[in-house]
Amino acid sequence: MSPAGAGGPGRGAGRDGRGRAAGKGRGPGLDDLRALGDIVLFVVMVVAALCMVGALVFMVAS
Amino acid sequence: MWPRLRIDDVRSVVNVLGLIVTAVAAAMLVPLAAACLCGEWGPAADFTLSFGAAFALGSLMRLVRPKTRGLTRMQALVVTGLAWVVAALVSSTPFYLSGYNASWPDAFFDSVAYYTGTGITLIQDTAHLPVSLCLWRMAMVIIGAQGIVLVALGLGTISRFSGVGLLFEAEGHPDRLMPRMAVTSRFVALFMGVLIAMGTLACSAVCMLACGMSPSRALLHGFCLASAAVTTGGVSLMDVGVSYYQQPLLNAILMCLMFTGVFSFAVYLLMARKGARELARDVETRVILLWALAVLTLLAVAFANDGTFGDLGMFMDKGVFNLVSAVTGTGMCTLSSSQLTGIASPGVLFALILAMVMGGATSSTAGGIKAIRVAIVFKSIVSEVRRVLLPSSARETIRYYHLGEQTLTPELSRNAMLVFLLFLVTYMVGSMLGVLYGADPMDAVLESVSCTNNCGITAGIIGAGMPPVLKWFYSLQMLAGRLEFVTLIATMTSIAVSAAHGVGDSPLGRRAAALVPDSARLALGMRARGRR
Repeated sequence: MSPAGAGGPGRGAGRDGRGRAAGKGRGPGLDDLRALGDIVLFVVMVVAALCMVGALVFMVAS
Repeated sequence: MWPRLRIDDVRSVVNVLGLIVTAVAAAMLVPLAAACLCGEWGPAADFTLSFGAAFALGSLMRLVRPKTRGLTRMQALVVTGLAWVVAALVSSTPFYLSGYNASWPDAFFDSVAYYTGTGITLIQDTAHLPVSLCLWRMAMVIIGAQGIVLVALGLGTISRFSGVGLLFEAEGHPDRLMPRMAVTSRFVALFMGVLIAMGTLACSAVCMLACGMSPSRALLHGFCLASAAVTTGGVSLMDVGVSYYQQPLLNAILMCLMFTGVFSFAVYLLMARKGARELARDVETRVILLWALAVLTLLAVAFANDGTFGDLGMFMDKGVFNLVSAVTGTGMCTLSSSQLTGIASPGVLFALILAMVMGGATSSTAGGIKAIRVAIVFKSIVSEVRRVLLPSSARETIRYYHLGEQTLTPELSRNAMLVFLLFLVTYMVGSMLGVLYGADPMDAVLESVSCTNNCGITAGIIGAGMPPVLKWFYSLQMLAGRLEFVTLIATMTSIAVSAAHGVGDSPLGRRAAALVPDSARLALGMRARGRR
């Protein structure tokens, strides 16, 4: 039995039925907000990379 | 034969629209409270009147009871298409009553621009708008970024209908984040809320410490900047936009916030479940970043060859920032319309148009063709070339990674190409209309692409004095781009067919049908009245 309860395994459950109960209507919680740190880090890296590449191309072209 | 609305369909549509109008009326309580707190009694009276009218209208519409409780696909499409128009109509009242918009069509245009995240305004003096009206603009941008229907679902107003998943899809959110739509809505709201709160803190700190604003003013500016960036709405408190602040640190924060809005919320949710690699692996993220890099290279060369903006600092301020703004569909611009069309080289203008063309990810706050469709179209072309080259007995499967491993099917390919084509045709028609009204061709293309992709960078054609035809067509472009065409076309077709043939078999429908002239019937490809 999945920890998500009756009605089948929840989101992320494997063949053995074990997994997280996320897909069973669980609302957003602190686990979801943990991804925020990763997202912020990712966008900062993207912006930094764009600035660096842009500056490099600009200097080479001029 | 085209399917037409029956009387019970109309009842269901009116009932759900009534709930949405009530939700919009409830949202007006926020600026009303702000107006009372700030002592803005004129706007407070406007908001009270608008709230009362919207609430009464919504309540009246809710009195129309459908016989069945669920929503069919056609009803869901019509509800979604009309929800955006009705919400914009109702929300434009405070702007019109305040007198900041010269006419009601101007107020409607602005409301459509806020809800769709385009962010263009016809208000001449945004710097002196009352706080309550500023907050109402931001509220509309935030509601529109999530989706009007999705917000109504989150508030629990329409969750008792069994066809809410269809509403969700019709609003341009094909990826079901969670099994229950109301939970999805709350997740998106929470996620966006946290991002806006973090952005508000950072932007307010810069406004206070670097720009010397008072704490309350810095908080208002910080909130508006962060909301405009995360929702990719691009609405600004100042007439000159983000150029008013002249702070490189603020520009860097805004660029990061704009990028948070361009990626898919579905991928963010998956990141919470499976880890950070989901974002980097997703085909949409890769397409957006590759596109940004390609256009950045073009823009850098254009800036390097441009004598006016020839140094690196200027390139960072006027080049990279505007590129990120255009790629993410935000529309914050550090170049004024006159600088864009008169001083910057055509190469810069061309690069910005290219940057806007694609749009963001599905289930994001950005509009446009969407990165997944570009990826599918590209993969379809590759697949077709390989099919021609390989022996006829060979079978190959094209895969891509978007919320897990996906296989490219002919249906997916056809849908993506259809929407891709519709976007291109709309860009073209909008540009032609601009040229017909005397605009420079390049400016007309920029304006058309900007409106259709809900970006908001303008070459100066859009303004309070523009011809009414352009005003209405740009409004239609903004709505079509936000609802990704199919919903709007289906809505218009259903209404047109029902108007020409009559709504079901009701006496009212037959009477309405009798009013449609034969010329309109012929235009819709239907039989003339005498031959029915």
